[in-house]
Amino acid sequence: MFKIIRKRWVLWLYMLLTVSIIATFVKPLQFEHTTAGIIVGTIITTVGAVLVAALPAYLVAGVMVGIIRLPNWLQSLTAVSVYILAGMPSIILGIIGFLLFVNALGFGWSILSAMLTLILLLYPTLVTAFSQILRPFNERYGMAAKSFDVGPLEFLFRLSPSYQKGKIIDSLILGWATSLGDTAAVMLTCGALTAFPESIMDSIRLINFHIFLLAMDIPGGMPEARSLSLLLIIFLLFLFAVPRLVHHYLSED
Amino acid sequence: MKFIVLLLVLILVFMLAYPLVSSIDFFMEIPLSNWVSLDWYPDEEYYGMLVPLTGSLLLVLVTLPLALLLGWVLSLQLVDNRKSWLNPATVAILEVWISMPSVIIGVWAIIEIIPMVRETFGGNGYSLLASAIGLTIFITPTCTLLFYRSYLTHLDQYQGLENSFQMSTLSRSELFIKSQPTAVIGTINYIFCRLFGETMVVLMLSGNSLQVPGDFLDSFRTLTANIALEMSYAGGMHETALFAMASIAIAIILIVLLAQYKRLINV
Repeated sequence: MFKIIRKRWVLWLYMLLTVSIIATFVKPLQFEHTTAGIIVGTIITTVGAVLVAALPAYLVAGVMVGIIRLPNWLQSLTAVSVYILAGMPSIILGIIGFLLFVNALGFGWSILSAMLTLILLLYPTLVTAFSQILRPFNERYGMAAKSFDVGPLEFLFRLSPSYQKGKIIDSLILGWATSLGDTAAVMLTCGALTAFPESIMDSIRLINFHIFLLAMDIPGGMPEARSLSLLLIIFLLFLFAVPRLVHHYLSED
Repeated sequence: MKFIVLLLVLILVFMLAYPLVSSIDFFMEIPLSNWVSLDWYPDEEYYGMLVPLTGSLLLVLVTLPLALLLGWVLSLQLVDNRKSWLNPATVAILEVWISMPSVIIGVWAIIEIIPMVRETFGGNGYSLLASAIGLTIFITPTCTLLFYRSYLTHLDQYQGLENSFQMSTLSRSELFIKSQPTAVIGTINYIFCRLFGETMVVLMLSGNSLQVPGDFLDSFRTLTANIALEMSYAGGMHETALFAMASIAIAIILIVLLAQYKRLINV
């Protein structure tokens, strides 16, 4: 036993750390400041952002893996733009969202501004995830599709989704988890109201920003921040278990 | 199709350039000696950006080697145990870690790390040391999985050559770096950008004092934390100075990312 632990001590250490972090949050749940508006607003904003970002990301992933043939300079430019955007800190994306969507386009602190900012954040993540599922599909069926006179767009938007439903949903869920995890990008664009949103122009407070405010700004808010963190961890674990099941049952490829 | 893709790229370029365009007034009006200084008093029109910039760079300097070392050791152990039952479980846990909201790590660190630092080393706990520990724990899973996946590619490429490698004078780390230089440099660049740009963990653990930390137990403030803290109430030139700060962060990240442009574009 000691030999096994000695061989893999860092792995065990990280497992132990994970258990210890989750154990820190396991305390009686407390909810005083959390409203339904926060939960609903978070779901609308994050799911909306993932669904809107998916379409251009899927198209660009098609370009990156060579399903859609473009001049070399444009293909390189696309790859570099995705690479740069992936490395941009989320607070910078928040500043861009604040300048463009909140101020210049006049959307104010709203669901729409937060959603558009999250699209910027999700775009490189989704392009990478979609590229990973499109590359083997293209290698396997690309030549055959050409011989049946299937165009690149039909191959990308009709054949691939029908064969790879599970993997695509898997990527979308990964995108959702990413959007739920980021606070800095949306804290400058979503506002801080806890009321139930009635339109996409309403200000909302996203749950991760709410946890931050509870931990840092609201006196006595730490127990509630801890409770919400625990719920968010459980939800993320659930989100990561679901794709594997979806992938298992839906992927024909 | 060409037009749509070009439009998407142009929109992205425009968005990245927008903070710079918005801060042109600042760079035109405020003399260089003012903003390249250690005095950040926006109410008195002193916009020295060196204090938060030094804070960011110091934090990266402390955290980057720690995260890379820990990530490398973890990835090697994952590779060595890739046939064990522990491997898929650890990879799954690391994947959850990557998507873990940074505020959750921040909340955990406030509960566990800050008191630990306070009781062990003194001070109030909110310090460079606490931020570095929190950030290392936060970033190591990303680093580990990036190294692990590159190492698996390296093993695929050189399958069957294990005996030749054993005869080589190079260690396996050196062999990996020689066979996957783009992956190694790409990982280092990416981790640098993540550390430099991380806001929430640092905002919650650093104490946010506007000073250059003299030692590991001093409170400090990073560039990104400064933007996040002051944007909500800034106005006029103060707000433009924050946009200028964002432009400087964008410039630093672009330099780091595009330093390997030619190598990356050939992959």
